[in-house]
Amino acid sequence: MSEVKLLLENIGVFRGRREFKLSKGLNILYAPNASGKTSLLAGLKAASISALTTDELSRILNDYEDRGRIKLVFDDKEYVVELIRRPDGKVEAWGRRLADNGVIKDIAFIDLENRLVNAVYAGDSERVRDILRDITGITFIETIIEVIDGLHSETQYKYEMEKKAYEAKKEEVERRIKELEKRLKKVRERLEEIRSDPTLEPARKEIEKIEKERKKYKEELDDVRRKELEKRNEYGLLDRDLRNLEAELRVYMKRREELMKEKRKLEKNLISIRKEIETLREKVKELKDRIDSINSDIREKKDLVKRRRDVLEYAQCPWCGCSIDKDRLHREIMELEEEIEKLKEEMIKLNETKSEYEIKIAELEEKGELRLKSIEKELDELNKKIKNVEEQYSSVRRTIGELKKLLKKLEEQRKYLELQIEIQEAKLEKFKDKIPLVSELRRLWEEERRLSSDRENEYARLRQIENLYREVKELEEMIRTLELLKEYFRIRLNELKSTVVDRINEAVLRHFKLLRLAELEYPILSQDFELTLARIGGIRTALAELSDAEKAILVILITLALKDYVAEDFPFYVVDTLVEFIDDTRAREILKYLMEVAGKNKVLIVTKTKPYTGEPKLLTQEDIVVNKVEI
Amino acid sequence: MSEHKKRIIELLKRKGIDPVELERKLMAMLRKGSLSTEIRDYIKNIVKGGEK
Repeated sequence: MSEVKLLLENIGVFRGRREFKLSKGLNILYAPNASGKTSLLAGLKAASISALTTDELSRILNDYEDRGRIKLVFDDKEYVVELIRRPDGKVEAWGRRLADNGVIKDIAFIDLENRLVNAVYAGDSERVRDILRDITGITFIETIIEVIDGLHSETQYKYEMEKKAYEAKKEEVERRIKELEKRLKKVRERLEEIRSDPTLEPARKEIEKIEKERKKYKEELDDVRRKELEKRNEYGLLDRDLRNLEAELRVYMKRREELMKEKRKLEKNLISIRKEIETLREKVKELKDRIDSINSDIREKKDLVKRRRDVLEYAQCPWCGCSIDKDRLHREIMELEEEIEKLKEEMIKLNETKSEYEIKIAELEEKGELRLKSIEKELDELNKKIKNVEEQYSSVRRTIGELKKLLKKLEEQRKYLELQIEIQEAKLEKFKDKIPLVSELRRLWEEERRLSSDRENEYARLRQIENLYREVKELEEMIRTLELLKEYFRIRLNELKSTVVDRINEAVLRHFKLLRLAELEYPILSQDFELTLARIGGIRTALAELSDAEKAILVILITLALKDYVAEDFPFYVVDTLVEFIDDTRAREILKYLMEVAGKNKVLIVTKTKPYTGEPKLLTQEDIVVNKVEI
Repeated sequence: MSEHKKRIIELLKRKGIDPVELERKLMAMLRKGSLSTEIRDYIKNIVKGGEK
């Protein structure tokens, strides 16, 4: 049969070392009060889960000791936990545990510290409901939904503000464009009127020629101006990217500098750290050798004790025939046993020192080689990032350089075209005195040019505002994603609620025998996680109305069902003290049932108090009854 | 799985978010005692298109 080994040192009522073996199947710890049943289970709990509070750890460590140790050997794997009492009285624990899930404490260790047990015994249905929601993860999903809700409101607010700002700016620019176009229309209408005026007749041919030329330059100018504005926009965006990349690069460089500094310092100290580790390893080796030698001394002395005990029954030595001095032998046995005890004490101290050194080695390794490796890894990643940003930076700079050249060219073109238009307009000067309308024509041409340019500028502003719109769109997209996520988690919450309830109720049905023993009807868990309790025959009852025995059965039933659902693979299930509240007949039935549940893979442990015989005695291996219900 | 849920998962995946994986990650964070603010930052990062 597969076994679980549990070595306890200064745990609960046990001072010094104790070793227990548990078997797969049902283990009943059958011993009198204060013999250490709960201490054994506390040790198992500390080696199984890390989610224990300082108070719980304080109760686990022996009151008279400052250090304790638990070693759990299960499926060829070792889990060692060290406990230490700090000067302020708080107990801390470290080491490798079997599970990292806080829920295990609630569903696999059913003792008087268990919050579900306390809530059931207090008859507090609301607390029971909250604990069940916690254990099944419902509370977590609700927390996630709350967080998403908060993020959604925050993003929605930001979106509305930015949208308002965008719309106000857009409205202003659009209004301005409208005004400009209105004026432009009027100017062009007036220009048309002037063109068909008969007073213009003497110079019509020449004016038409000038206008044709002017129009050609004007079209080219509009085109160049549009291009120039587009490129200026592009330049602005690239310039922003360049500044962002510079900032990113500065952050990476600073971090690299810090890491290099730490690395140099570490490399300087590494030799001394390595030396220290080496010295400690040598000390550990010496201690190990000394422990081995003490062990063999103990074995030899035990052998001597055994040989003396063996001949105690004889009147003469069976080997040499000489007469036996029983008093002398008793004295020798006592002396040898004292020596063994001393050796054991020495060994405990040596083991403690060895553990301290081993912890120190691990700490030094963490500080030395391991930290160096992690720095080198981070530096590697950082260098890659820096290279990448540098490449981006030079590519953006190159593009900016090209853009600058292009902008300069466009500016030159624009200036040239403006000059050409001015020349064409100046050609009208000679008709000014002969035809009065020519002055107005020239003024209108100028105005038309100015209005067109202003309109182009406003269109460019509109395009810039559209960039703002992109940010508004991004926020809108975020809101949509958050809504989808919220919907997903809402569905999951409903699904989980009904699945959890169904699966727990299914599990409850599987443990139907227990339900009957508590004289309750099925189902017991409603969709809103309320325990709906009904007596056989359908009469509704409340948690507070159940007897202590029924409450105990109910807790065992619920936790078994929850364990099936949440942590089926966790190998232990412990019921401490609760069986005491149940009458013998039903207790026997429950134990039989637990034996069935345990099968060949699980380790179920139940405590039961043995009547006090007047002899105070601590729990021993003989007090653990395996796979037997009749005690 | 309901059609509605499938559609939601599909839409989220198109946005580069695997909701099942996200749920697993968030539950693990909460079981290990992460605070709401850490959860908030994690979700915000995911929604903004950060770590998936």
